[in-house]
Parts: sequence; C-alpha cells; structure tokens
Amino acid sequence: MDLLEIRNISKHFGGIIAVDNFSLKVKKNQLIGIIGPNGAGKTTIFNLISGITKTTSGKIFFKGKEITFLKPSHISKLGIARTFQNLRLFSGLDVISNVEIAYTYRMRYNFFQALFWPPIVLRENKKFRNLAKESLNLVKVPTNYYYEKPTNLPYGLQKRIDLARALSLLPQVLLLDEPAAGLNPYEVIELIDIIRLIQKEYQKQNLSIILVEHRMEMIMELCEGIYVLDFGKTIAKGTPEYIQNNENVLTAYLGEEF
Amino acid sequence: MKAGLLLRNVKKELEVFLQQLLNGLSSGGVYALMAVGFGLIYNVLKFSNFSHGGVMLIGCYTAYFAFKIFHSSLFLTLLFGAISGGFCAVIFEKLAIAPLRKRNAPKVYFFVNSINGGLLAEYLIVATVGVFFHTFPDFLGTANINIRQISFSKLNLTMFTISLITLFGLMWYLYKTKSGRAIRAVACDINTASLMGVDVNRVISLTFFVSGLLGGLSGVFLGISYTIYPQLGKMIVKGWMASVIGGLGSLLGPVVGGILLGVLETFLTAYIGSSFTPILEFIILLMFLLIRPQGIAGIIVEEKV
Amino acid sequence: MSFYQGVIIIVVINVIAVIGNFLLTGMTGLLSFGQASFMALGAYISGLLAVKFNIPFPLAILLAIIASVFVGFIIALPVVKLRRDYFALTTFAFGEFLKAVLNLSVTITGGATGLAGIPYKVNIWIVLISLIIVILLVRNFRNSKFGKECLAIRDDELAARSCGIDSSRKKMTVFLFSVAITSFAGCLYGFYTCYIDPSMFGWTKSSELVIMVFFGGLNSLTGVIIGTTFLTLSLEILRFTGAWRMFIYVLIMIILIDFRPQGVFANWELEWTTFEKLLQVPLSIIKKEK
Repeated sequence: MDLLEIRNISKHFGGIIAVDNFSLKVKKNQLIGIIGPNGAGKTTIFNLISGITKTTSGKIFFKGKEITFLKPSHISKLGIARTFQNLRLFSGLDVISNVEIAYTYRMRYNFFQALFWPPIVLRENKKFRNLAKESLNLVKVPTNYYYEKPTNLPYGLQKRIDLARALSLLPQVLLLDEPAAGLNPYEVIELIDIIRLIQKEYQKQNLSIILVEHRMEMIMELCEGIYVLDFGKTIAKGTPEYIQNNENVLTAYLGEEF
Repeated sequence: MKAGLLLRNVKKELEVFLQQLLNGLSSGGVYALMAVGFGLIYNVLKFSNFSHGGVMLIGCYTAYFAFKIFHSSLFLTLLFGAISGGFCAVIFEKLAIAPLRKRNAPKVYFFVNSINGGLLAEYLIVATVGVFFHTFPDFLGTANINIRQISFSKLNLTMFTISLITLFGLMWYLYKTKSGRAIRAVACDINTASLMGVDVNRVISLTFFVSGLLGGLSGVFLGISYTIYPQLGKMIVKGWMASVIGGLGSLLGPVVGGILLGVLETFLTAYIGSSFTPILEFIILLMFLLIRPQGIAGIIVEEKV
Repeated sequence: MSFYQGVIIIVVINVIAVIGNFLLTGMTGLLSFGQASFMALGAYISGLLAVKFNIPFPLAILLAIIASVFVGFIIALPVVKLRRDYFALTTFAFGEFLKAVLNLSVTITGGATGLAGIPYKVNIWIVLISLIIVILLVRNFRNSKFGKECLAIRDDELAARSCGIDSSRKKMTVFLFSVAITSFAGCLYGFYTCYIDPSMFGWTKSSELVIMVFFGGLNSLTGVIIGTTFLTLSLEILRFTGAWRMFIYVLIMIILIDFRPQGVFANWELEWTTFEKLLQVPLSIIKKEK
C-alpha cells in the first residue's frame, strides 16, 4: 500500500491554475523530489498536502485514509510534517521551545494540571525537553544555542531548527520545502549529509521524504523518484537518469533552442 | 369608505418607510465615509486605525469654531472640517506611526498607538474646549423637500448627496490620478512599490491626509446630525464595523457595509427603539460572521506561505 | 480604612484584570475590546446573587465566574476560527450588547442608575492573596505546554497549526481562562465598591486594559504587573496637571510605545532564580567569613 497517494489534485486561484491534475505516490522509505522553475506550483502542492490550502478538485490519501479536507493540525498529528520555504520559526520562543512545540500534543496533561503543576507536568516537560534536545542534536545545532531566540542565529542554523521541529512531530512523511534555498555551497553539502542521516536514523519508522527544490544537483544526488513541474503541469516523472535526458525537462529549464 | 382609510394608512406607512430609508441612507453615507477613510489606511498599512475617530473629532471641532468665527456656509464649514482633519491625520502619522514604521514594529503596536491617538485627541478637546455639548445651527433650516407629496428632510438629502459625491471623487482620485495610483501601488505591496521608486514615506503621509479629509468631513456630518462633544470620536467603531462587514482590504466593500449598517440601524431604532439597537446589532453581527465571515466584498486575504 | 489601603485595593484589582488580558493580548495576540464587559458580568452576577439571594460571597464569586465563562464560550464559538479582526470586533460588540442589556433590565440590575447595596466583603488581605494566587496560576500556565502553544499561535498561527496545534481550540481555552480571571477581578471590584453601574465597564475600560498590557511589555508578566501598578498610580500623581492630566498620560504612552515598542520591561521576568542570584551575594560573604 502507498503511504501517501495524491490523486489528480488541482488548485485554482481565481483564474490562475497553480496546480493542474497532479498525482503522486509515495511508498515507505522513499525519497521523492519535485522540481520546477519558480511559480511552477511546488509549494502549493505542499500547502495542499498539509491542509493549509484546500484543493479545488482531487483527493489526497494517507495510509489509505482520505485527508483532503482535514485541518492542518489534524494532518500534522497523523504523521505528515513540513518545513517552510521562508522559515516560520516562532520568534518569541527560544530554540529548544521552538522544537518542543511539535511535541506538545503528545504531552499528557490537561489545562487544570497545567495550572497546578502536579508531578506529571514536570515529568512530561522533562521527557519531551530531552527528546527536543535529541532532535536538535540530530540536525547538528550546537548546544550553546538552545536558549537563544532563533532570530539571533545565522540563517543556515535557523533552517535546521525548522527541520528539527518538523522531525519532532515524528512524521512518516516529511515535506521539505526548498531546504537549500539561501544556503551557501558548503551549507548545502552539510544539508545533504543531514538529510541522509535523517533517512538512516528514521528508517525503522519508515520515514519518507518529499523534497521540493529548484536546484537540480541536490535533487539528482538524493532522490530516487523525481517529478518535474512547469506552470502547474507535470511534464515528466521518473528516475534521475531518465529526467536528465528528458527533452521536455531540458526545454522547460533551458529554453527552446537548446 | 373603509378601503379609502386603508389606502391612506398604507400611504402613511409608505411615507414613514421612505423617510426612514432616507434617514438610513444619509447616516449610512456618513458611515461609508468613515469606513472608507478607515479602510484606506488598512489597505496601505494593514492595521485598524482607530485614531481616525480622533481625526473626526478634531475636524468637527475646527469646523465648529470656523463657523463661530467666520459664520461660514455649510460647504465652507465642511471644507474647514475636512482640511483640518487631513492635517490632523498627518500630524498623528508623524507622531505615532512613523517612528514605529522606522523600527519595523509589528502591526499590533500600530493598532494600539492608534487607539492612543484617538484618546489623545479626545483629551486635548477636554482640556482645551471642555466637556460641554455644542451644536451646529440648522444650516438649511428645517426645510423639507416634497416629492410626490412625501416630504423628505433637506439636510439628510444634502448629506447623502455630498457623501456620494465625495466617494466618487475618491474613486476618481485613486484610479485616475498619478498620486492615487501611487497609493494603490503601496497598498498592493509596500516593498515592491519602494523598489519601483515610489517614495513610500511620502505616499503614506498622503494616504493619511486623504483619509483625514474623509474623516474630517464625516466628523462634521456627525456633529450636524448629533451634537458636538468630546466623545464623538468613539463613533469610529461604526466605521470599523462597516468596514469589517464590507470586507477589509477592499475599497468598495466598506461603502456597501456602511450604507447597509446605517439603514439597518435606522430601521431598528425606528421600529424597536434605540436602546435595543446594540443588542440586535450584536446578534446580527454574530449571525453574519457565522454565515459570511469573509465580508460582503468576499475577498479572503489568504496568507502567503 | 485609610485612603492608601483603598488605592492599593483598586490598583490590585486592576492588576488582576490586566493579567487576565495579558493571557489574551500578550501571550496569544488576540485583542479583546470587550474585556471590561466580563468584569461587568462578574460584578453583576456575584452582586445580584449576594443581594437578591443572600448567597455567601465566595460561592457567589464562584458561580459568577462559571457563568461568565459560559457566556464567553458562546461568544467565542463563532470567532475563534476567524481572523483576529473579527475577534476584536465581536468582543467589542458584545460589550455594547451587555451594556444595553444592563441598562434595559431596570427591574433586575437597576439599569443605568446602577446596582447598589452589594455587601462590603473585600479587604486588602483578600485582594493581595487573590493577586498572588492569580499570578502563580498564570505563571504556571505560561510555563506549561499551553503557554508555549499560545506564544506559537501569536508568532505564527499557520506554522503552529502545521505543528499539530489546534489553534481554534487553544484560543478558546486561553480566552475562557482569561475571562475567568477578568470576571474574578470584576467580582472583587463589586464587593469592594458596593456599587456598580454599566458605564464603569465601557470600551474605554476595555482598551485601557489592552494598553496597560502593551505598556508593561507583551512578553513580561512582571512588566505587566509593575507597569499596571505604575500607570494606575501615575493617574493619581498626575492630578496636579488638572484638566491636562489624561492628555499627558496618553502622550507619555504614545511616546513610550514609539521608542520602546516591546514595553518597558521587554523580556525581563522576575523569577525565583532572580532571588537566588540576589541571595548568592550575601551567602558568599557569609561563607567567606566562615
């Protein structure tokens, strides 16, 4: 059975067709890439999967259950986590709390217990703080930054905190929205290592990753299946080797005369 | 005989209905002016500008004193009110908004400072003029206009007409002139506009001036239809309500919202009494939010991810 | 009872109400322009219960809080899902609604002339103990997962929702908590002044509660407490300026927000650790002497 199945989804914004009849299947432990020029509808697809925008038509299934009309909070609890292209860290919280946010729905105490702090609150807080530290450790955020506000940190680190936050939802599908955007070449290499590490660490949980990028080399390096979008339409899909030699892709990327 | 009486009753009721409709339209026109002035700032800076109430208040008092000193006519008095409102809005912008913009502060601070701005105007009036009530004279007398034997208040008719003309003038300004286009460009995207060579600071001051003109005008209208008192600025909440009902982020929505609110309120007040009006307004608002939360204009400002 | 005790009681009640609003405005980024009407609800319900049914005042307060929370639930139900502007608008309209209801129900509440004859039950110790309890509860709430979730919703609601936070539910929770505290402040107010009328709880009072949160700092509970105390007292101090008193007060506020938008106290928070650090100094001296 497919872990995530997208069946012919479309999204129209007024007269603009942002995503046109897009389909995708993800199996366990896969790493799928979606590439395309700017404005091809890649981020919109992520927004549709995570429930932030609703589809105009088509259906999305997760583990055989339809999730098309669920709320974003519900979808993320089921096991689909995402990162954001333009970093949406919580500026009022320190780094470690930013990560802890993703664990809060697992913490087992209610409103009244939160007011009076019986031992269970301390126990739960401590347990999940340790888990948050592990996540941050995995994406290689130095411990001395844990209690800083994220806005004071370099951009590359902020991106990794965003990644740690998404991982802390303990997802089965991880959506990475242009993780390499704005990083320098050295940081990109580091990022590729981290993604490989995550894949290895989470193999037991059957984590699949969908990666949106417009950097060819990164997608080619990491992904086993690639979808190429242009103006909302899927113009090619297949293995990296196939995509590299596909004429449609070359035209979309480099223009007609090539 | 009986049929004749019935007919006369129907005619009488129709007359009352039409008169109330005109009353409603005239106060709706004023609400629309307020709502558009309020919405203009919302479009450009994306915050609810409550200092607009203060602008209305200052406009109203200036117009009142202009009248007292120069014995100006209705139109001249309105002009005084509008222009002083415009300058008051710019002063407020320099005092409470520009420093926040320079610091890139979150919008919520703009909002709070605008409430403070409204209060500042109110207390300024309290300290200088005092808390007493004043009234404008009957500019047009108590003359009525008869149309098909139904008499309408000349003042209400004039107010509604002036409001409509002003609104059309504003639309013309925003869509046909160069500086109007600059305002719309900044409303669309402040950063892109500044990259395209629009002097954003100047345009924002200009927007405040235009919105202040509308505010001053609506302030004088309020002063004419009610009395002049320091808490007049609180009427801005009607403009706020109108612009939310009409749809924030649109320019025509607040006009429709304002007129709708004015008519609704007049009828509620006429048929069930003014003390019940806030109760029904609240219930209508709740229903409205349940049924059509995006406002009449229906623009849902979707967040960009 | 001395004049100063009276001032302290009013200040403390005000601080409790502002703390209630801090939960909403400071922590969750929701602006309520009807918060004073929940003070009114608390004051009126508990007052009526005490006056008409002779219910002992602690029980009257408890019942009043429960009733206010229930009313808050009904109002918030349609709007927690919507944009924040609507929340502000609805709470505002509710304030006007409640004022109209109170003015109209002359036979029950006394209408515009107010409700008199509420028994005098509140003294300085009761309000101080209440304040400490409220501060501790809010502090606990803030340091728990709920507090973090609220801050996340305030900073970026969309991201919070993609982190498994059901934002409408959390907003409802924090709103009801805030309503409970605010209406508690209202109850205390009623049992202290013994007389209440609808005009005390208008939207000027509501916006005052909002502004005080901003003055102290959106991120600092300590700041909000000290700031509110200072502001309430400064109104007394500014009396010498006569008619210009409120004008100067508001002008100071505007200039302060202009130049220090994060509030006077920004992120600073007084915690036990601060005391511990302060204690370190004398302790180290004692150790040296040994």
